[in-house]
Parts: sequence; structure tokens; C-alpha cells
Amino acid sequence: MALTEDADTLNVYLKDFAKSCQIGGGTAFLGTLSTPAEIIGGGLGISIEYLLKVKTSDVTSAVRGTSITVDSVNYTVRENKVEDDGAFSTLLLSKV
Amino acid sequence: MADTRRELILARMKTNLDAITNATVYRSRVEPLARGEAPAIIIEPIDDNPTDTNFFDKLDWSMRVRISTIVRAAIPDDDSDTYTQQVHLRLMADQTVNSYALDLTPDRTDFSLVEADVPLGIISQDFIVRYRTSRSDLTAA
Repeated sequence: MALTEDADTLNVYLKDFAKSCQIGGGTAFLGTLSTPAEIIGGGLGISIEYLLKVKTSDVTSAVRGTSITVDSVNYTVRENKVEDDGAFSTLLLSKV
Repeated sequence: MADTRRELILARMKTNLDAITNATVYRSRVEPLARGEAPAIIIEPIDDNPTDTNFFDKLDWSMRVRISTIVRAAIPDDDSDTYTQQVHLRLMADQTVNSYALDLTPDRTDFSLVEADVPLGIISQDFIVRYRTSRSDLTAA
């Protein structure tokens, strides 16, 4: 039986650890948020790299400056990067 | 043991910079700053070089001191402007550094703008401090 890769299938990857996300008044979607800290600026600063993994189809409108909520916390988009075969994307966020 | 003239100068410059408002001033801080710790100003020595003088028992020193202003803002160089001008103002108001130095002169300014969760700006202002010590004793002028 052929495996169909649709929204339901892709949500399987997200459902266990994902949080509810929303862009503006749009439909809520799932995303997994990780928050690694990076040392930047030659060791003078720390940046929290808010990385949100989502289905690409949920974030086609997300560009630099787009407002987004993740688990009711407000962020803005820094980068929208498609990954691998394009089914998933990672949004790099800045906490408001 | 008494402080060297170098240490007295650095401590005095730190004291002068402490008057800057709305920013925390650190002496030679080496740990990275979190987003909430900016704006911050770090004073640190870079190098210090002696030359002989016409007086056999004296050395003239030229010390480079770096003042790094660290800000987090959408346009970091713009945000830093209020602090860098205060750095210049506070240090140039005491050019003999409480009479420990012969003079103090602004040198180069460098800008480093870095992508981050909120953009990071590091604006470094170098100052050259010329001072004199005994050839045999760094605590004596």
C-alpha cells in the first residue's frame, strides 16, 4: 500500500511534542519549539534561537516581521527556512 | 602592594564611565551578556607599550583601552549612539585621568552588528592613554 503524505500524516510527526501556533487570526496549527542558546558576537552576547518546526503548508505567509503566537506567547519571524523535501519548515523566531 | 599607574588609570576610567545613565558598566567582563543585560559598557585594556624617555629613570607608556558598548535593538548602531557619545564625553572630561596620565586621546571606533533573537551591536571605542612611570617601579610616576 502506498504511503500518502498529507496533512494528517505529517501531523503525526508533530502531535506528541507540538504546541498550538497561530499567525494573526488564521487557523491554529502545530509546531515544535526548541530554544537553544548560542554564544554570539565573539563571546560577548547570548542569543536564544527560537526554532519552530512546522508543516510548510501552515506557514507560507510567514516572512521576516510576521507576528506569530506559540502556546499563547508572542513572537516575530526572523527567517522561514524550508527543510529537506519541503514538507516541513523551520521558523527562526524572536520573542517579543 | 600599591596599585600600578596602569591599574589606577583603568579604575579611574571605570569610575568616570559609571556616571553614564541607563547602562551597566563592567570592568573586563569576559562572560557573554544575555539579552536582558544590555545595554552594557565594558572597559578593558588591550595593550600597553613602554618607550624610553629623555630621563634615564623614566618610562613613557602608551596604553590602548577599549570601551565596548553592547546593545540589543533593531538598529543597534542607532541605539548605541546615546551611549557612545556619553563614553566620549565622560572620558574626555578627565583627559589626565585624575592626574595619573599625561593625556588621553580617542582612537578608532569599530562597529560589529550581529544577527540574534534581537540584533546585537558591539561598538568599540579605543582610547590611547599616555602615562609615565619610574623605570624600576610601576607604582611610581
